[in-house]
Amino acid sequence: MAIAVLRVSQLNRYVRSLLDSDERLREIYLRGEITDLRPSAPGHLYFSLRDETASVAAVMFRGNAQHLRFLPENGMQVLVRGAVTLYEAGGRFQVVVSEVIPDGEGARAVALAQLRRKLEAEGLFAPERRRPLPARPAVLGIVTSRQGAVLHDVLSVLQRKAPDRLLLLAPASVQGQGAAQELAGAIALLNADGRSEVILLARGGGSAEDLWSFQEEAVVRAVASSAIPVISAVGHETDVTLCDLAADVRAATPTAAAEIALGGIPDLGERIAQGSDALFEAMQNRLSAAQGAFSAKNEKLSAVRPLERLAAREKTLYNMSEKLYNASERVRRGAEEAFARRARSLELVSPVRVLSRGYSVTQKDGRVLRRSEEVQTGDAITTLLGEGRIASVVTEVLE
Amino acid sequence: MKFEEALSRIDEIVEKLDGGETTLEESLALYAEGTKLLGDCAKQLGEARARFEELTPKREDGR
Repeated sequence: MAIAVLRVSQLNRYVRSLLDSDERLREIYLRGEITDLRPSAPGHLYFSLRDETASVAAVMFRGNAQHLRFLPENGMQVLVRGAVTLYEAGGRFQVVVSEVIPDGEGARAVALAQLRRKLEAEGLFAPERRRPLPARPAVLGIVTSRQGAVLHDVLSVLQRKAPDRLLLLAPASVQGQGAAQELAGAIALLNADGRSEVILLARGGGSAEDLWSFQEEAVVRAVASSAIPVISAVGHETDVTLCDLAADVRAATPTAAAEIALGGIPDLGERIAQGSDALFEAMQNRLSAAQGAFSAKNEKLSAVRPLERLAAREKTLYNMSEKLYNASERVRRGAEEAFARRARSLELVSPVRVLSRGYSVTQKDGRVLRRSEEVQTGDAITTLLGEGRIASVVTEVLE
Repeated sequence: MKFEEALSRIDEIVEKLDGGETTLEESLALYAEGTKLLGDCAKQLGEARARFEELTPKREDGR
C-alpha cells in the first residue's frame, strides 16, 4: 500500500481549505475575554479570546482595527464578528476579526472612559466652549421622545411662566437601538430649522443602560457642534452623561432645564400681581403728593386771608381738601381690602372706583378742570360720574 | 411676546409715576393704561395654552 507523504505546507494548505470551505465558519459571532493582546507596528491587533476552559487565537487586521471606536484591553469582555481560518505558516487556526463590540458592564465602562478621554483631549468639554443662553428666547427647541413625562413637564413650565413662547419638538427615541442616531439627527434638525434660540436635550431618569444613548459619540458631537446653545437634562441629578459635559448648560431635570431656558423668571401670575402692586403704590404716592400740594396752598391762603371774599373760597377749598383726603383714604382702604380679597386673583383697582363713591371729574374739551377760571360762561363742559356722564353749559363762573 | 411687552410697559409706567414729573391728569391716564394692560395679561393668562409644534425630519431617501 502506497504511503502518501506530505510536506508540512501541503498539510496546512489542505486543512486551511477545509476550514475556508465551511460555510458555518465564514461568519461567526464569538463571545469571550481578551487576553494576550499584542498590537503590532503596522496596526494589526493580535490577541486571544478565552472563556473558562478554552482559548483561541485572533487577529484584527489594520483595515478593520482602525475603525474601532475604542481600544480593546486585556480582560475586556467582547463580542467579535469574524471568520475562522488557518494561519498556514504557524499551523494554527485563528479567528480573523472584522468587528469588536464591547460586551457587558465592565467593557462599557472602559469604552466610556476611553471615549471621554478622547473627546476631552479634543477640547469638547472645555468650560470656555460654553456659550451664554439667550435672555428671553421666544422659541425653544426640545429633543426628547414624543411620549413620556418630559414633554408634558416642559410644557407646564411654559404654561405657568411664559405661555407666549413657542416650543419646537424634534422627536427622537431616548433609549434603545438607533436612539443615538435619532438624537443626533433631532439636534441637527433643530439647527436646520433655525428658529429655536435654545435647545433642551432631555430625558427622564433611568438605568445607566437606559441613558446609554446619551453617552454615544454621535450624540455628544451633535451637542458640541450645535450652533444653537444646548441645555442638557438627562436622567437624575446624579447621572452625568457625556452630553451633559458637552452641553452649554447642564440642568438637573427637564423641568429645571425649562426654567433655566426661560431665565429663571417667576410665574406669570406672580409677575402680574407684582406689577399691579407696584402700579397701585406709585399711583397712591402720586395722589398723596397732589394732596400735599393742595393742602399747602390752602394753609397759605388761610394765613393771608386778605379779603373777606376769600373766606368763602377757603371754606370751599377746605371742604374740597377734606373730600380729597377722604377720597384718597377711601381709595386706599378700598384698594387694600380689594387686594386682600383677591389674594392672587389679580383683581385690579381702578380710579373709576373713586367716582363710584360719589365724586366726579369735570372736563372741558377732554381736559380735567382744576380752576373755575379755566371756563367761561357759555362753555360746554362734561362731568364724569361713576356711571355715565353729564354734559352741561356754564351759566356763571364763580371764584 | 405680548406678556413681556406688557410687563415692561408696566415697569415704565411705574417709573414715570414714581418720577413725579407727570401731571395728575397724565398720572391718571397712565394708571388707567397700566390697569388695562394688567387686566389683559390676567385675562390672557387664563386663556393661554403653551404652543408647541412638532418638526418632521426631511427624509434623504425622498420617501
